[in-house]
Amino acid sequence: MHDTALLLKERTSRIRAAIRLQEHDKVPVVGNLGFWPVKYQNKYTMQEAFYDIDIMGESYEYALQRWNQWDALTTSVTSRAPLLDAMGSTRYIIPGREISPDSDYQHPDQSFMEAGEYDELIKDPVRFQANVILPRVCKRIAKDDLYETIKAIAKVIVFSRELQEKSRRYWSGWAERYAVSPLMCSVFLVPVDAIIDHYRGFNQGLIDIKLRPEKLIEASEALMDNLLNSAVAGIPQGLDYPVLYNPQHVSPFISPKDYEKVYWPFYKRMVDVFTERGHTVWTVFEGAQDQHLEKLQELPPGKCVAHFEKTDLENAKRYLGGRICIAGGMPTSILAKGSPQDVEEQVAKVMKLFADEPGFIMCADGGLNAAKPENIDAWFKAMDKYGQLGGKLELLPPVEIKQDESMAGIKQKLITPWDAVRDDFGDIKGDEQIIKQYWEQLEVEALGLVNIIMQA
Amino acid sequence: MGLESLTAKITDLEIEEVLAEVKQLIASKTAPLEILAACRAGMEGVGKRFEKGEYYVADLMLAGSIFQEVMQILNPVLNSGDSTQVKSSGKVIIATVRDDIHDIGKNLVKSMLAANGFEVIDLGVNVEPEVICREIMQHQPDILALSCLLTSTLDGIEDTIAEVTKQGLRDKVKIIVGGAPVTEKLAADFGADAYGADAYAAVPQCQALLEGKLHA
Repeated sequence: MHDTALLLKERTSRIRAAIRLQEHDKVPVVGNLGFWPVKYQNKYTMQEAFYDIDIMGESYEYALQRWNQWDALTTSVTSRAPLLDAMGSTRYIIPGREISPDSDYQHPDQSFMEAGEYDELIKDPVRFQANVILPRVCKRIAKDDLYETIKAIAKVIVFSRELQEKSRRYWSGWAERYAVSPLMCSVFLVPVDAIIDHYRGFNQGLIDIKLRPEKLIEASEALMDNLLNSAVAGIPQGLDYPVLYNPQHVSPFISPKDYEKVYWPFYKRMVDVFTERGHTVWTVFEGAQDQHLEKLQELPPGKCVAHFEKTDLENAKRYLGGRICIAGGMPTSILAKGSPQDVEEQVAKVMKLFADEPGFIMCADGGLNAAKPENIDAWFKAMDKYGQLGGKLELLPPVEIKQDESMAGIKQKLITPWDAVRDDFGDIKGDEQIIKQYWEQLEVEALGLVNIIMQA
Repeated sequence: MGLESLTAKITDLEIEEVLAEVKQLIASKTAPLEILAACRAGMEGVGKRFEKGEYYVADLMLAGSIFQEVMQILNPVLNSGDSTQVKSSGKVIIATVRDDIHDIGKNLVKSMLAANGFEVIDLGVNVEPEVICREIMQHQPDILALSCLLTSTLDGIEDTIAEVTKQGLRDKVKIIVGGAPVTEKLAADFGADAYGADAYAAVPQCQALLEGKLHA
């Protein structure tokens, strides 16, 4: 009988080996549970779970008691509705608020920026986000009512600390009891996705790619530092997986020509910066992205995961097999609407394709969402039957993250340096170094929270 | 300059030139219905390029936006009374189903259908099955087009088709379904008549439904 600590080491090693394309024993299975445990437990509404992390925690515990075979879990969607309410954010549709309490939370397509405002964004993306976009998105952030703004930000600070603390406690408990770790330590977006998600909206943004690509390229360039920094700000050392999650929404909908012009150069640069530091980049290639597979061959081998939703996996294997770890293989529609036999047939089909060499992680193509319990059972049973690779599993240590100078340089650009405010202090009577030290320390430490607020 | 050139420019997505030519054609007293036909032919060309893999969704979005701008110029002339009534290819009710607020796919399908001569009644997002049935009774469409983005809202498609059947409307309307989690197999399991695999597929599928070439 395994003890949990050893089991956790084996699982983390299995995933590391798959990512690094090294020999291992069987194909790892990753659970993208999302809000599914709440539906499976069937005790609380989605609204209750989205407002209360303890409810989410209870549901995860309940689901993990039945299925503890996951090699890792992608980080759960946090219960952050109170934070969004505190800010008055209009970015999302929240269950129980704008839609029935048992629905999923959703991200509607909205445009918060005019085409004519690109130059303002390019000139100073951080201040454009704070001064122009944030008050448009968040009703409680009002330039003419600072009291409301201060309260909103204070509430975010209180809530975020509690959420972070509880989240940490839950994950450490699940690691001890069920030998699972969260796979992702942070998220980043490629600039075009950020521009479309946060500012222009999908419809207008895609048209911008056709009509004003040069503005998108300039804006992408301007946003790079902030996007790089916000992805890695505050990531602690010693995590089981220093994996950065990168969902890509826009790329399935553009031609290879447009992709190479406005998308790929920035994606590649970000991947290079992050993998150079020691991170693994886990990109979710949403939709079908067969048209870009050839280009993806240029990603650094053994340092990335390409998670496909509807891209043809045979195609993906042909282009990327032996270079990049591929993830996916289980359509959520089969888990939700298929039979256990459909699940087994799907596993058998996918394993026939991937069981010949290391470099595949089995997971659902999206969040489990509406999966039937009997289909999860069938999935694990089929993985035991078809997912054996026959190799030896070696225990592998985690990668140490380098605290490199380039990232420190980026941070410096985002803070207000002491020199810029020194004159405001006038004639300092005591030790200037003490004041300077705390000024600079807080400037850097606050960046993580600043990002949370800016992206509400 | 001329109708053929307008068609080619729409297919090539040359927005400024298209709008200038439409204005010039109107000024030179070209029949508005002929201008509309040339524009629709251009949109057909866009669809063909999409089907061949030369165009992607971003190109369809731009084409839809160009066609919308053209119609803003053309509509006052078409509705001026001098023109013969624009003939519709068929009437479609379109909606994103209950509990799903995503409308990008639905709106794109709507704009492609409109550009290909369909009269489209858009019920919006998060639409209850009962509301859809009421609208079918009121508007008597040829086709009901249903969309969802989330796996968890697939039930909304299934329940809507069940409600249409329960209310005795199933033999009065053809049903096409689409959206990210929908597959051809699921469409058949739900009892739909057709499946729109991508943003443009609804156009030939709806044309085939009207011609009676597709059956449940």
